[in-house]
Amino acid sequence: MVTRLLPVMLLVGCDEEVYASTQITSLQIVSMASEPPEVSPHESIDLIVTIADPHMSGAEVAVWMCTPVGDGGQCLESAAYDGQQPIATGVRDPDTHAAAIPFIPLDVQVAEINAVIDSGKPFWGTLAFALACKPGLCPLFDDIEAGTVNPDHLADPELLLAGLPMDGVSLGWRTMTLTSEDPDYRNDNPTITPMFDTPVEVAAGSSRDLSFQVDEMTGSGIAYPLTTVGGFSTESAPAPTPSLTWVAPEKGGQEGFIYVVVDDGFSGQSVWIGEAIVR
Amino acid sequence: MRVGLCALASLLLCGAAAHADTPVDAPPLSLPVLEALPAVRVPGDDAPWPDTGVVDVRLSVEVADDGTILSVSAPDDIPPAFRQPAIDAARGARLSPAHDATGQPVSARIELVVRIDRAAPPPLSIEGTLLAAGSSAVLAHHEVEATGPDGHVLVATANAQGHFQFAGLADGPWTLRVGGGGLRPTQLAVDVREGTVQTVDLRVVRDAAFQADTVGEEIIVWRPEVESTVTERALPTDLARVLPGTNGDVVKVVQSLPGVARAPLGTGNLIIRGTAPEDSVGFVDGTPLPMVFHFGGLSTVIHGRSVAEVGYIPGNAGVRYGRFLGGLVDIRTRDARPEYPERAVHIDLFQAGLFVDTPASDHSAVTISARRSYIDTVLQGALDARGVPVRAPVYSDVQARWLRVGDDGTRTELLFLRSHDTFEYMGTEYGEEDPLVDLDLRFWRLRGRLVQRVGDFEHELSIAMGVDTESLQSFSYDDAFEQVASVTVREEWYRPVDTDHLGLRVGLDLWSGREVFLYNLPTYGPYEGGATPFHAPALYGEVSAKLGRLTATPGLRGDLVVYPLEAVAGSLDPRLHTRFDIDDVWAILVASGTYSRLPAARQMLSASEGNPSLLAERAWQNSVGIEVLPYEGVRFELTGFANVHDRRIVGREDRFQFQATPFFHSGTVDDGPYQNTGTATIFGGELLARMDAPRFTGWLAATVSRSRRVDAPGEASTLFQYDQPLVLTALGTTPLPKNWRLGSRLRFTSGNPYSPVANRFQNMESREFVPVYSPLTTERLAPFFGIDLRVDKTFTFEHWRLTTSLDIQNISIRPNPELPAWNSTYTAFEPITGLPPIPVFGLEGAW
Repeated sequence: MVTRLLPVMLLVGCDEEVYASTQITSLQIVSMASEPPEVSPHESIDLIVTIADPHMSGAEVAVWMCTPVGDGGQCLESAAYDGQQPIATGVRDPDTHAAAIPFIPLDVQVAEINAVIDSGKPFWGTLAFALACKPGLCPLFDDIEAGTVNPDHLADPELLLAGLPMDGVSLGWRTMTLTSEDPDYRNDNPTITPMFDTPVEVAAGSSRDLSFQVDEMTGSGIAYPLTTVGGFSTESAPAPTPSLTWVAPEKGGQEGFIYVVVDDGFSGQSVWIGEAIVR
Repeated sequence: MRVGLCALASLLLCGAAAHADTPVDAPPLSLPVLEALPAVRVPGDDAPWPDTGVVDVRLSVEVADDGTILSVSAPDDIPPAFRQPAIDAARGARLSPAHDATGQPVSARIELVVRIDRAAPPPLSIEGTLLAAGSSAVLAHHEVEATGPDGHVLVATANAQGHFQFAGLADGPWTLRVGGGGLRPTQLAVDVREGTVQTVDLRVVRDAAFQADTVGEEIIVWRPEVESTVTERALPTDLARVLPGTNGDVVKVVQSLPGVARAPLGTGNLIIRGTAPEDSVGFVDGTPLPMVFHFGGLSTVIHGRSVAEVGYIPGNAGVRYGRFLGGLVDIRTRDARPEYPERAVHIDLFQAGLFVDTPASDHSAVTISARRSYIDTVLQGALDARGVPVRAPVYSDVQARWLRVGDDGTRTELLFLRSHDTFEYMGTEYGEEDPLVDLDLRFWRLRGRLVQRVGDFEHELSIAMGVDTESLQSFSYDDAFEQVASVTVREEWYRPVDTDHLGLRVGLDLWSGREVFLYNLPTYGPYEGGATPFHAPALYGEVSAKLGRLTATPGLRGDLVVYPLEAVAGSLDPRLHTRFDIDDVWAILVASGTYSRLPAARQMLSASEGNPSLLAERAWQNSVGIEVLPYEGVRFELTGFANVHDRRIVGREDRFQFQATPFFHSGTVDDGPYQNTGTATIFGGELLARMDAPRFTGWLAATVSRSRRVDAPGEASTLFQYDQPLVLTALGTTPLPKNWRLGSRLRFTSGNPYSPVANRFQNMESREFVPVYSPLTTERLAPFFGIDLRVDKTFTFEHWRLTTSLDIQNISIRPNPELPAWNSTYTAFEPITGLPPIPVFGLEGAW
């Protein structure tokens, strides 16, 4: 609902706000990449869910697809699979910070979707969801194990998150690009190469400029920085050569990780992960 | 003393009949000629007057060769009461000297006859007008003292036109003095010469510091009679304009009264007894206004000087008012022809305006006013410098009125109102600056009104037409539009109750027109568009009976709305008001009744996925009050209220709406269809302790209340968006010497409740976080505390006056949280705090 606009809207984005928005203080999904980014509905993909875990608590991950239909926002998949909507699980790998979960976006034939794809146009109506939780925190995983998942919860994030704490729970979603195009002509995920030495190490309270080279990208993209230690002075920078300034905290003796997510705007997404050390 | 003055004047107008008689000494060739004779003091009725009332006093006068009077004597047989006045007059006479045969002036003795006529008025000496300095206003009925060279004091009273006269004054320096009754002591020296009328304009400064016990020019603050409605509080606008904390806005003062919660960010939205601003209504002389404030609360849409009084009814209004669930304000315009022109030009930090109210004929007057904001000019530079892509709001309003008041009191009026608000959020498209969001709100009204006395009844016929338009253009492609073109008619007959007859009020309140709406904002739901005529007639009636000390007023109002070929809804609202005067000091007021609001077109029409089966929303309002008037100028009111709403229309909260609240919505959104499943319970108490004295006006207002909502049966109850359990206001203003005025307001209010963010999820492509709110409003902002200050100083010049004002809100500099807000990741609560103290300087020239 849009209310009557407040006449004097003091919309000021201050530096402190930007710095804070790039900080990761609890379990959080930082990227959802589909490998490959463009796929036909029946092909298998790897949904690579990268998760920051500053408290090292570990994370279990569940992924599913939902193509919203009807006024109530039900998932087509729930009806297509007779209420047994596919949902897959995985565990965050502490080395890669990610859970790579194989998934077939739509393993059944849906005439309406096929009609769009077969006409040569891509279909963007299918959403991929990922829920990352501190182990034992989210009842969904118990429901998955018991086969009693409520499809309404998969269709409505608010229902899914009801009663769950913010700390230790992270839910993300993205659109899937379903296409019938020749795989040779489909988009790829971008590649990110740092133009600096790693790990990134600076003195407490100081800053460091981090430049990247982004390749294999369709069109122009945007790089989004995040970190578990300190923060960044900007929320984003344009690819293919984004330059970001990491600002270390005032207190030294800390270590963490920097995540730089590049999204090309055409379903391609990648993440670079690097160590950060504050002396 | 007045009798003596009149008697003296009588004699002078007659003119003393005097003539030179045969000289006593050696006769000159030519006799002295009487050139002038001063006024003769006429003795009182206790003097030995003859039956004719005329006494001729023969005086022997010796005249020098230069014409001066050397001696005057009168016969001893003349009574002293007549002898002395005649001698005094002769001594002041001016004569030309006698001349001998060579033409040389010589002294001579003559006989001078002075006639003293009891009935003849004395000649005028001083004629004047008593005026208020700095304006064209006359000061009627004030006394003017004239003190003569011998210390003799006379008094005249200025009439209704401010004219005063002194007649038969002795020659010499006189001093006119005026003072008291709210007038600064002033004196004027006048040199009186016989045969010359001195004309003076005596300009006096009105200064409240010289207020006497009588209120004089002060406006009576409270009505002597309170209507049957439980608590109607009327504020005269001359007082409201100088109260602190409102920038001189006469309607915003209502926010300082009991029953009104504090609106965020200093706006003027009226949150009355736990209801939303859109649940209450505004009227101008009983004609509905589509909005009372510019942009939801910056300034009232009507120039304050056009307003005589603001009536505020927090609940249990009479049957005359309908189509709302909460309270109301009725802005009452001036209903009298001014005796003299009044003009004013005002400028402050936010707006400039002009006002003219002038007699057009013996019975008619014309009033014109206009205002325009320039907050855009003031703030735009600061906004541009900070890169904020906002065009500050612009508002303007115009009023014009012709009023005729007949000799029998019949009032005929033609009124035109227009209001316009715009706001733009700028962006860059194709390299050029272009409004991304363009909000435009405007309305106009043309009203003819007749109010006349017919026997015991007051008859009112009011016909108004107008167009209300709200439009929003978004990103050049999406838009929303609402327009209502309508006519309202009120035909009412009213007779007040008395001990020997019932009171009666019957009336027709018709609202009819055509509504067009369009909502093409894909982000906020599917396309909605439609147009429909509508007809909303209402009939109402109430009877008042006075049974000893009890006055009871039962009434009934029936409303209907018809959207032809689409939907119909109606309501019937019984209401009862009672007042029991225990004695002249104590009174108990009890009221109960229902108030209905009929569904809007959008809620019922198929073109907007409406529900044609909707019923009217209903509020059952109940109140009990005690009123105490222990002394003149002191008033206490204690009121308890309990209101229950049912059939509240809920649903479609995900759709775009033009409405003033909520400024911020936290909590879940009901996107289901429109239905009458909502309920509300509101209860509380109000206390008002008020004092109106010549040197101080102020009050203490306290409100305790609780307001809850339930959207559907079985759902949990939530707090109303602006539920404020405690609202305390202490306000006072005092006039100081030399036309200074100082006022202050202290406020303490509970913080507004809000639903906290329970969780969030993120779009991994746009990187935006979407909050998941708790379904219940379980948190509350920190309390509000503020101190406002206002200082006024009026400089009075001969023909005009200049008033300077300084109004500072929140001089306490406390950063009060106003609206809930979070950081962009919803991990930290960072409420929006109020604006820092902004001193608003104002200048007003009036003449």
